[in-house]
Amino acid sequence: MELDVNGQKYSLEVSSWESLNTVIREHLGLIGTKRGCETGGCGSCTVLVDGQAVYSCMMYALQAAGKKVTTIEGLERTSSGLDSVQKSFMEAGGLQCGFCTPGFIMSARALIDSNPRPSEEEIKDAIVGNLCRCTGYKKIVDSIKLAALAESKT
Amino acid sequence: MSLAFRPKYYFKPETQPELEKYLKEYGARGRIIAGGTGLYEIAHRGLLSEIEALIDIGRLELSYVKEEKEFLSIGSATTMTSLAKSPFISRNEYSALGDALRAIQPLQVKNVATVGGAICTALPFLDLPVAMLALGAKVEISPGRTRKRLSEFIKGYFSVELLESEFLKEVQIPKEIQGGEYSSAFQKFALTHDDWAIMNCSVALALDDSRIKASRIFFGGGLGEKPLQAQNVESALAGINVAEESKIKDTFEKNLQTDIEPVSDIRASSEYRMHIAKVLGRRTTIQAAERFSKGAHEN
Repeated sequence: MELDVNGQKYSLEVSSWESLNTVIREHLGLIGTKRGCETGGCGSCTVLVDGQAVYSCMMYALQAAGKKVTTIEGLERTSSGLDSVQKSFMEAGGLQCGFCTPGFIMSARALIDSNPRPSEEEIKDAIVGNLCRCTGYKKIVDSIKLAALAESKT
Repeated sequence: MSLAFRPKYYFKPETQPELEKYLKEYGARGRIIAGGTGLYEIAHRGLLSEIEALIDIGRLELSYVKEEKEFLSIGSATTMTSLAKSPFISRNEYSALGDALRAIQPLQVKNVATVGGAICTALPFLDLPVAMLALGAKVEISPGRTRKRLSEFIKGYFSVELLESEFLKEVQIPKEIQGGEYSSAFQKFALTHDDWAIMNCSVALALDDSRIKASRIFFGGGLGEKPLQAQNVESALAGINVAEESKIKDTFEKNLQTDIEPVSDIRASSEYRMHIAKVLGRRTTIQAAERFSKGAHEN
C-alpha cells in the first residue's frame, strides 16, 4: 500500500488486519505515537488523518490509504525546534509521566487548526477522548490555552 | 497484535457496481466496513467468525447531506463530524440530530464513525439512531433503491433487514410530521461523558396553539433488543397544553411503563432506568415544544 505519513510517501507491504498504529510504530518506527488500551478508550494512539484526530489503534492501516496521516513527529517545527503546542505543554507543565502526551498534543493540534481561539469548554470537548492517568488535566487545559494564545499572536 | 478482528481480504471498491460485485462474491463471508469503530464490539461477540473479507465503502460517493423536496438525505458513509457541521442540523425539525451528535463522544470516534455504521451496528443504546427514529427516518437500500422505515429496518442487536447482496445507501429524514412542520430534541443520561446511554430519549412534535398536535417519541439505552417507541405516551400527550408541565410529567408517569421495560445490568437497575426515562421523556418533550414555539414565533 501507499501511505502518506508526515508528508512522506511510503510504499509498504502490510497485512489486511494491521492497524494504522502498528504500521506507524512497527513498520515506520515512529514510536512517538503510543499504544495503550487498543480499544478506543485512552487516546494515547491519537494521530491526525486528513487533519482530524483519530484513534490509530481502531483503524486498519488500509483505511488510511490515500489520506494524509500526521503523527507527533510530523508537527511543523518552529524556530525553537518544537511545535507551539509542544512548547506550551513544556512551559505550562502539561505533562507528568508523558505517556498520554503525544495523544493530547495531537488532539490539541487538530482543535487549534480548526478553531484557533477555542473556549475552555471547547478545549475540554476536544480532549474527552484522551486519558491522563497522572490526572494532570488542569495543566493540560492550560497548555492548550497557552498554545492557542501564542499562535494567535504570531 | 491489535484490532480484534483479522480479515483475510480487505477491499476498497471505487464504484457501486464494484461494491455490488464484492457483496455478491463473498455473501455471508463478507462484511461492509465504514468507520470501523464498532468492529471491536462486533468481533468481541464472535459475530465476525465467518467473515473473510471486509469491504470498505470509504471511497464511494456515500458521504453527503442533501436537501430534497420532502426530506433531508444523509449518505450512509457520512461521518458524525461531517453531519454535525451541516447547516441543516440547526433547523428546528432536525435539532435532535445535533443534540445526539453533541452527546456522542469522543471526537476521535466521531471523526471516523458514520451514520450508516451507527444504524447497521444496531445497538439499542447508541444515540444517533434514536434521534433518527423519532424524526420518522426512512432508509434507502441499494441495489434496487428499496425504501424502508428505519424502525422496521433495525431488527435487534447487531441485526438489520439487509440482504447479503445489499447495502445501506442513505437515510432520509422527513420534513413534516403528519403533514405539518415540527421540532425535535434528544437527551441522554450516561455515567460518564463518553459512556453509552443508561437511557436516552428523542421527541419530535408539532403544536397547535400550545397544544400537542402530533408527537413521535423513542427511547433507547438498556431496554432490550432495539430502541422502542412510546406509543401510549404519544396518544396520551395529544391535546395537552405544553405550558402545563405537570400534565406532561403525569403522562410519562402513568403511561411509560406500558411502552418500555428497561433492563437491569451492571450500569443501572430497571427501576432506576425507568425513573430516568420518565425524567428524560418530560424534559425532552418540553425542550422540543420550546423549540417549536420559538420557531413559530420567529416566522
